[in-house]
Amino acid sequence: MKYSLREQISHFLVQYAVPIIFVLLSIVAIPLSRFSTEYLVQEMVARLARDSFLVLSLLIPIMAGMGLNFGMVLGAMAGEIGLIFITDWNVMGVQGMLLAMIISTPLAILLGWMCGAILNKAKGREMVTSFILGFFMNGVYQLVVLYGFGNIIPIKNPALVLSRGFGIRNVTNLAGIRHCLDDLFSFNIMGITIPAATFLLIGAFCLFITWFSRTKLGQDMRAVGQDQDVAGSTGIPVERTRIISIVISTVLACYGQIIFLQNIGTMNTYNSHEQAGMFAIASLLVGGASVSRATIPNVFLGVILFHLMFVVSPMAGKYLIGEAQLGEFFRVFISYGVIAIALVLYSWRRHKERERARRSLRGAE
Amino acid sequence: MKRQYVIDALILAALVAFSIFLYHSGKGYTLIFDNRNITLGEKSYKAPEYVQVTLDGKGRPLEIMGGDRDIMTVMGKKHVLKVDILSDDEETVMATIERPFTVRYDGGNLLNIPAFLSGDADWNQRIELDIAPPKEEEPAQEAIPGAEKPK
Repeated sequence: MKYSLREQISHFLVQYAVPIIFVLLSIVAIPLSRFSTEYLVQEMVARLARDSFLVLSLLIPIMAGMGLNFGMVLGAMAGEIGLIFITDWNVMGVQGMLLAMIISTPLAILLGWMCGAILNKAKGREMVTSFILGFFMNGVYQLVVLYGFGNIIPIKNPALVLSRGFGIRNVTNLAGIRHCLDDLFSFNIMGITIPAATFLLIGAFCLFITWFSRTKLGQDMRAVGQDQDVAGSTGIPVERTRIISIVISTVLACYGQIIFLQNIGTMNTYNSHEQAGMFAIASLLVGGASVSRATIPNVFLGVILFHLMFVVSPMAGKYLIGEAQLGEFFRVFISYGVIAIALVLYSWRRHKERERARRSLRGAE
Repeated sequence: MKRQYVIDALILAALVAFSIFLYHSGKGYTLIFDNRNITLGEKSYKAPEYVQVTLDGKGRPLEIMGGDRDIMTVMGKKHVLKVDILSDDEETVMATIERPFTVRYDGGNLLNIPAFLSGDADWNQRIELDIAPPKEEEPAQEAIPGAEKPK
């Protein structure tokens, strides 16, 4: 059945509603912000390097039909624990970053496995379950970091421990590994600093995802994502495949959080991971991804559009209303708002697609 | 099955070995370069008026006046220390001493320049670093560009 031009346009608008809204908002906000092109490009390059790895870690669970992995915050927490250890031991540079990754990997695997096993018990409600699981594990994390570190787990560095003798301070200074990856290999193009080493790592990760989707396990995940019953009847171990997808996502989120924090240079010990999950998911959705479909271009487009709004909105707000602080509220409003819009659009789109399918069947009769 | 266990064990051992390597090569040490007169045992060493200290031939050299100290944090234990003794006008290099050394202590290391120049074995001494707990800073967040000036 052929669709009319109007239907095709309407389908396109529905499909890409979120990125279109963001492009329009950016077109209005960029001139208002009065930022120079050079500044905006530099900001976008820095934020692409900082955030892409975290956002990419969300792709594999989507491939396996588990939706947006709000449980990625578990991986971020594991990464932060690794960073606390290397800060205490005063291990610096790329070595420190790699050591933090090695230390946190077993923890991320364990948390990912636990998350995957729980999500298998809540099929069809993975997103809300992983969201709440993130809150639950945040409590456990706070208990461990606030009472375990310095009490049960020895911490020697007095700059890291609270004055009472146990528990980690609110802010962990990561000066030893700050920009260690970004500065490993970087160059300048027309005054714009390109952190090439970080981009090489992100590129390698993209290649890994492309390669992985073609492997037997990747194909199994696609099959499970499309229809679990059919996949199960063809002999694919559905639950195991789903757990593996969450484990991979959690481990990659752990590495992503370490890369993110080496760029920032300081860690908000008790809150950094919360922001990581929310902003990564919002970025992916802004890039045009949905709960059931996400690609690598969605990641990069999303990071650019989402962060472009972050950068320009405070100044645009300042020149428009005279209050820059509005940008901070706008930032939080955007994150939650985008996720809500994307979820609503997803349901609406599914409803529309079913309707189109019904109509095309009727047309074929 | 047994072969798989052996492979797993080997991978684990390689990871542990790699971690140990990372720990040792990436461990940070605080070095305090001390350009003051010193007496070690029966020997006394006089501090030069002005020296330039370079570590591993990298970075901007530390410029230390006689009776002064400067601090540096380094990665790993093995380094090459180069000390240039400058003339009073601070322009002419009078002498240069370059020697490899191994950092001795995990905490602070007090490196006495006059003793180093004279080749005294006790030039590297332990020093307790008085680390004041940092003030609670603002929570770490991504920079909000609204607060800063556009370029």
